[in-house]
Amino acid sequence: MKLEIKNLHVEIDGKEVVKGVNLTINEGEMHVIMGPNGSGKTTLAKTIMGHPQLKITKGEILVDGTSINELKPNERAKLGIFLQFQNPVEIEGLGLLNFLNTARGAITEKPLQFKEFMSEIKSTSKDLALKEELIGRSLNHGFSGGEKKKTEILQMHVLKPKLAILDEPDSGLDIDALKVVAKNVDSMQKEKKMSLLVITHYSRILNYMEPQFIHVMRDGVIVKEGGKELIHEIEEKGYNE
Amino acid sequence: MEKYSIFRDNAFKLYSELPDELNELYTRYYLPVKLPNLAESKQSSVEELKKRIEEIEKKTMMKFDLIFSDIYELSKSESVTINEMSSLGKELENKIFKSEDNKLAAFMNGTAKKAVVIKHNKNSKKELNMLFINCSDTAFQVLFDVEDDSKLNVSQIFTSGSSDKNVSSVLQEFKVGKNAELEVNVINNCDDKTTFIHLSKGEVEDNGKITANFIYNGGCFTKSINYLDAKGENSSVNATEMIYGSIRQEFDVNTYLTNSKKHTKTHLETGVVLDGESRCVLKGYAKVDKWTKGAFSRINERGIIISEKAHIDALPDMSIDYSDEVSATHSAATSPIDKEALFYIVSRGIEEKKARKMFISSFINKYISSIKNPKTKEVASSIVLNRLENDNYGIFQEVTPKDVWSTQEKV
Repeated sequence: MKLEIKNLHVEIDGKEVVKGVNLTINEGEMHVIMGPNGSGKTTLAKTIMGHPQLKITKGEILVDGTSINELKPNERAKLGIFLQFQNPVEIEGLGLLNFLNTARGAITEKPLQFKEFMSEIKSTSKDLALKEELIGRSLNHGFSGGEKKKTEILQMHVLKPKLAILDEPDSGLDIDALKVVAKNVDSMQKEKKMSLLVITHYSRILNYMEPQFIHVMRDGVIVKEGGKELIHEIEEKGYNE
Repeated sequence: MEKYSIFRDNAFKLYSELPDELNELYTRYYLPVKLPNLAESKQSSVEELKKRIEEIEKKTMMKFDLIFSDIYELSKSESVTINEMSSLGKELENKIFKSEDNKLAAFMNGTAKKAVVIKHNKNSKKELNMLFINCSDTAFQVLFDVEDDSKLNVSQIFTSGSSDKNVSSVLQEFKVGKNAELEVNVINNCDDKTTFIHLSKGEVEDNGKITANFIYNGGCFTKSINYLDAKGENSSVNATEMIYGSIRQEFDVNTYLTNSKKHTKTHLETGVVLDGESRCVLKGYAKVDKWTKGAFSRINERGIIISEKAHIDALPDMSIDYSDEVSATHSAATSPIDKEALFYIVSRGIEEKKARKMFISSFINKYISSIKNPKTKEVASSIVLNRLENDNYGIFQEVTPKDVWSTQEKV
């Protein structure tokens, strides 16, 4: 999937947060957006997914050459876009399995036998070192920060997107969990030729991934772009220089 | 029947003359029972009723040990030990509710036709399924006497006996002995022409436990008053209420918890979902008596408003007398559907309409999950799922193993 963002301006409650972003992600590419708090990274991610409270005032989001500005979030998901949330919501009473099965059914429109579905869930949970007992519980309810992030990656595996946007996949993860998640995402991206956009503050997770493009975002615009060498520059000098 | 008519006339008189509840705030948020005029209300025949009972048993996969109906003789299973009480009126009025305590109790005692005392001991059947299927305004009275060291699980389904106006009402007392446990599940799935009235009083002795789950789904008007008292040391009362209203349904639900002795635990969790022009007044009151060291009391009331015209008045309240080391909290919160949660679900490819249903269903499931009896849990779940899918109530759907609960239990 090819994603093109052209001169994108986004408002929340009348306040402009994204102020003219241009970004192109070709099929199978891995991009990273880094930047300080409040620079508009999460707003950009949610806008790509179609959050109803974010208003596009100017610009376009194109998927394989077609504008998705007017598409609802579920229609974008059906196209193959997946957003891993920075703060996944907890919904007590909504079984994770039931939710995943419904979401999978909505996107693929191909019913999967329960046994087959469970086998896939259990195998991915094992790869992610996610406790099996969690999959029988309510969606993210009572999960630790790390468990929530791993569950998001589990969802990504089940939904098999063509473009995944991971919003701070590293926050809340200890070093071992970070390695597991990063390597898992990296291998899925290569295997499925999935387009990937990773949003992060810190370079730590990028030690276990191989992004081709790094973008630095500040005050609603991309201010710097480059390859992996940019990470070291940020590590040394921070975002202010 | 003459005798009952006289009682009923007196009861109507009493109902209009007796004072309201004493709490000023509660009086302000008080929905008076709108008793329908049943003079020209059409009753079902015994055959029609039998057919309906069969249909409910088939769909819910429940076999009812006791069936209460005004036009159908009390049906009972041989495995249940019960004592029918022939004398009505004053005797039961004093036994279950004193009329000066509550005007509604007085009204219901006046319209009572059948009263049953269920004595339960260690050797009795552990589960009891009861169906209340009424065609008029006859009230039923049930006294549960759960003896020391015994366990009983009771499921009560309320449904309408006719398609015309009627009142489905029950007045019951739960006496739970030392080290005994009672779970009582009350499911109201009456239709939109039924006024539902439920009054109960429960007392638990030392180390005993009452778990009460109230699912109020049907009926045009619901009045519920429950007094639950952790009367003995180390005893506990856990009450859960789930209220789901739409169209113009009205609910006035009052639950009073009391911690009477040391190390007692009382807990009330209430969830309300309102759509259309429905209205709910929710009153949860906890009283922690003097000298109840180690007592714990909690009331949580949560509401979701789906439409602009729906209305919830949530009034959690507490009274704590002087006592050391007591923990007591209460809270109430009402909101529309959480937009972020909705976005999360929709972002996974699920259409907004379905996402809303999933969110409401998850909210309701939290409360239904407190029902321990798996069959009753499935019946409650199927009633709610049917309502979410088809926007109706008073109807029983076939319970299938495909229900969400079954799926979760398989993992």
